[in-house]
Amino acid sequence: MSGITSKALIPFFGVPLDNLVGKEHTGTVLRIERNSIHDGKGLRVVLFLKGCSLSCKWCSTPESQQAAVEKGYGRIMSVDEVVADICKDEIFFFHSGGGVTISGGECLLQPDFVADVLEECRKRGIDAAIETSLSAPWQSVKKILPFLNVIYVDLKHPDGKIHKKLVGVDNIHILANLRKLDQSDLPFKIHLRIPLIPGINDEDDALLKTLSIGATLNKLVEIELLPYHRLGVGTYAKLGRVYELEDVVAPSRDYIIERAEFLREQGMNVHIKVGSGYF
Amino acid sequence: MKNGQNKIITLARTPDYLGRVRRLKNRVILAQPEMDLENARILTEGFIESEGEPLVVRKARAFNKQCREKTVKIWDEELIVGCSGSKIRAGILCADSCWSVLNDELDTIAERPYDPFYLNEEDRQLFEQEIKPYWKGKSNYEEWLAQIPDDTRELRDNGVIYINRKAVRGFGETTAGYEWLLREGISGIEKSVKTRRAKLDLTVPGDYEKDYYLRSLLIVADGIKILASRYAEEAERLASLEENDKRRDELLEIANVCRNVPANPAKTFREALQSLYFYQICIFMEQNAASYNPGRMDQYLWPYFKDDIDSGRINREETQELLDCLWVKFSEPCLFQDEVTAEFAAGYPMFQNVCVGGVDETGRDAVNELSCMIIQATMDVQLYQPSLSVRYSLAKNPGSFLRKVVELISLGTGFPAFHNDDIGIRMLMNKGIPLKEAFNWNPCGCVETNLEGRLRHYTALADINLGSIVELAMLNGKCRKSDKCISIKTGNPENFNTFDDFFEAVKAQFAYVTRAVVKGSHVIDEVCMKRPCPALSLTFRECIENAKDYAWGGAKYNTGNGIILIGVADLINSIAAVKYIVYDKGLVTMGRLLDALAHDFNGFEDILKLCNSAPKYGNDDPQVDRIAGDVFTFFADEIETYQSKFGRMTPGILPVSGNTPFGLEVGALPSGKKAWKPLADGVSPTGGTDLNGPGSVLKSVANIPHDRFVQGTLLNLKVEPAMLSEENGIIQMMALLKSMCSLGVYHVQFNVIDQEKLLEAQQNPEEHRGLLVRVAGYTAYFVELGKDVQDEIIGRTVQHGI
Repeated sequence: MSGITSKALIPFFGVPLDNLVGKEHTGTVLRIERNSIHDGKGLRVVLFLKGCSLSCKWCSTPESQQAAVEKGYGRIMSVDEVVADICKDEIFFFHSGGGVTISGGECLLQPDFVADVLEECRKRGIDAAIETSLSAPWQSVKKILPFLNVIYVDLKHPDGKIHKKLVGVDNIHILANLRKLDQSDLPFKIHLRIPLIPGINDEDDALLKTLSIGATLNKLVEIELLPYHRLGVGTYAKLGRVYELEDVVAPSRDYIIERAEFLREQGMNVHIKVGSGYF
Repeated sequence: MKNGQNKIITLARTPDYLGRVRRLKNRVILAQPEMDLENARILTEGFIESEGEPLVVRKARAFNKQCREKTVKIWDEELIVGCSGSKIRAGILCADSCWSVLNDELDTIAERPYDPFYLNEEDRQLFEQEIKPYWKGKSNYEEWLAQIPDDTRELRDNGVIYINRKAVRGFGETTAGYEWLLREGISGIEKSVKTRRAKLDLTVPGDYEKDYYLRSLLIVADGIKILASRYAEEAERLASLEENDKRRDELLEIANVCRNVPANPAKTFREALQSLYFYQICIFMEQNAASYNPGRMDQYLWPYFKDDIDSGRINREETQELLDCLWVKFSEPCLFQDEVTAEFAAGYPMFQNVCVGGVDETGRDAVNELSCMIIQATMDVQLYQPSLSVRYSLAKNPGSFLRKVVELISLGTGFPAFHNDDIGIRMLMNKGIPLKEAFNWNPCGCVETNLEGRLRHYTALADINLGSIVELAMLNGKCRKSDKCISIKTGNPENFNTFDDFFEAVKAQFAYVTRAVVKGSHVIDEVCMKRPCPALSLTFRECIENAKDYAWGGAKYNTGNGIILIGVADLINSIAAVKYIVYDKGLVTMGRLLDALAHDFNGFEDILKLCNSAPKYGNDDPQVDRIAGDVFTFFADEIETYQSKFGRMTPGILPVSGNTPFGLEVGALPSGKKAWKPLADGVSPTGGTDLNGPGSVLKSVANIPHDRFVQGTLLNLKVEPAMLSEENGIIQMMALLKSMCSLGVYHVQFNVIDQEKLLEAQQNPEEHRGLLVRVAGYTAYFVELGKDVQDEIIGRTVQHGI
């Protein structure tokens, strides 16, 4: 006996299949990396996008700064292409709890593309994070928040004037975005990341100020110290550009640990993490 | 297969028992491998004494004589005793199999580049005056050389196949019935033999052969017991001379143990280890060969361990010390083989494969405390033997076990060989073994599959050079190196209108070569009927029941021999390159490509660039990976077409080190491989062509139908140090291994990127193009960084090994 009518046999997938494809936007992608263990939970695909609103002197990825494809760096990709590429690693996401992290450049400069990619990832059950400086219009930020589990915010310097000197823009807008972000009803979490540049933003005052900003955030998980490194200096030469921090020496791991300890000793109840993996 | 570090241990702080282990280990490392002809001398005398008896009886009597007369030595401080030769690191010659191998190398063996053996003058004279004159014209190897089919010989001589291996050494590639031996003892097995013998009626045709066969089993059983009692006597003798009280007690305990086992059932964990090792040296004495695999030690030793621990007879530290002592013993013997075979499998490779983990006969989690202690023994000792394998059941084995495995991987010794349990089980089933028994499979030798006390085959009878297969298709059956026509004519590729025409030519070449290998395999099977191994057969129950030797097919399960494919990535990338640059994109004509290959790309740098730009296997690129699936399904189909007298022929993909000598036989290939350079190993991508990290390699490799290559598939994978040194990395490494299992990849072993490998990458950037450098938010290829930055990274990267 069968009580099931033929109508009931129609598949009831949560999402109709034809909705899974066909987004119109394209994006300018610098590169796609796989099995990263340094950019979020699990084994991750990291999508580096082109174009940045800042121009950090220590930038390790100067080839990402310009929005357009240049000197062989970057290519135009459709949402479908990018999503298909991310999905290749689904088995690794499954076992590791990983997913996709969209980074840059500044990924918020391509908000529609990023939103489309992340929406498609969400439909497929893929964990999503972005890494951003938040130097973008709030409308752009807002667009992608529904699809995110984690947002990594890179704070270069807490002082507006110094910030402008170091990266070309004030941080007023960034900090305003950060506060709005923290007030969102959506369930994503915030990680603050500080690229620790010796002699530039690693002194007590700057760190303490960033710490106190972090301590006010309800969605904050931790502050992560990212050790300055010089792995990208060769790229400047390839681009015909000058690396301005030629004399800065990459700090030892012990030094980063000492800075982390200093922050922990403040008793602000903020988890401090030391960025992983040199090499 | 990567071996351990073999460096002398100089640890600052160690548990007490490691002091002894360190001294035992250092003695092995410092000993130079030597030829040891005592075994061959006694064998020869034994055969002279037994003229007129059936061959298997003569073999048994000679073995018995070896047990009675061989040198018996107990080295200082050791707890587990026994040595198959008279020297600590001995290569023994099985004169009945292959005396002439040594004859051909008398002047060179001490200096040859791969696996040299010191040969002293006394032994040399012994060989020339006693051994050689007796065996001349009588060995298996000479029979093989006389009977090898013409086409097989031609392909062998032109480097398309390697097929001498089994003629130059004994069986090996087997897992004896250790569990039964430990439980019943030799005496219990003798009872079974006698019971079976009592059922015979010598008036019934065939029963006479059975009778003398069973008699030969009793003769070897007697020999094994005698050998153990001689060790007991030696221990007592040494004890009587010993001044140190502690050592005297140890020697008396050794004597006690040797009085009981292997003659009787093992009563304790220590007796079980000693019983196992005695039998191990006996089967090696009987036939010098690689890959006598102790198999699932965590399973069959478990009852003894548990009983000892529960009764308080032994504590965990003592257990670990005994295991570690046994581990050092496994590293003493050295495989002797001819110089060519040594080049194909270098490093005196005994391949005594010990396995932990997996599931039990009910399909449940089989991991126990001993599984981790066995892993710990490998971590403690860090010698090249035993080969440690892990059966990892994704569904059943616990995370704590996987974590212990990753800790061993992080030592950078190349151990363990990590096996996907479900695929191993399927391989066994595809060999015709029912699921219930397949649950009990064990890795064998390098990465082959086996079943203790029940399965007979050569797992790696012959190797096929897949680089040659492409070359033969490109050259219409001609070998580039010799410029001789050695295979079938599949047509001038310039006349191929479509990619399919080319693909068919490749398949036809493979089919031709496979036929020649199968013919050769049948000859070897026939020759090996005269290579009985009663000591090994003794623990194969069905050999007793059928009164039929292992060599004759007496085991419960028999399959056709293993045919091994080498040069996987070279073949796939070559086919993909031809498809992409000649047919799909029309970037070059077949004629010009052939010209470029003929000139090893010299003066054709543009063509080399095109070849290198074609999609490459190892990047999760369906354009090339689809070819992998198609062509390897065809290869498996083709090999499985053939039967031997023992069963269906069996395919596998493992190079040991054969990819290097095979590469020397192959000219330039469309893959971009330069002439006479090594082929890629196992199922791994060609060095420097996998640019997307380990996950993409696994995805590509998963396109090969691993479970059909029932003799195993081998993957070497590079891994960044952070995956093994940081807490999060270790967790992700575990996830990577689980993913590999989900993908259906059979095996992986890891090369940890350490200072040494980075320095190598600095020297040879082309071969290391895929080497990634990563930190948060940043990734680059190591070889593309400036020298100063590279140096900085090298300075910060840990040196692995001890």
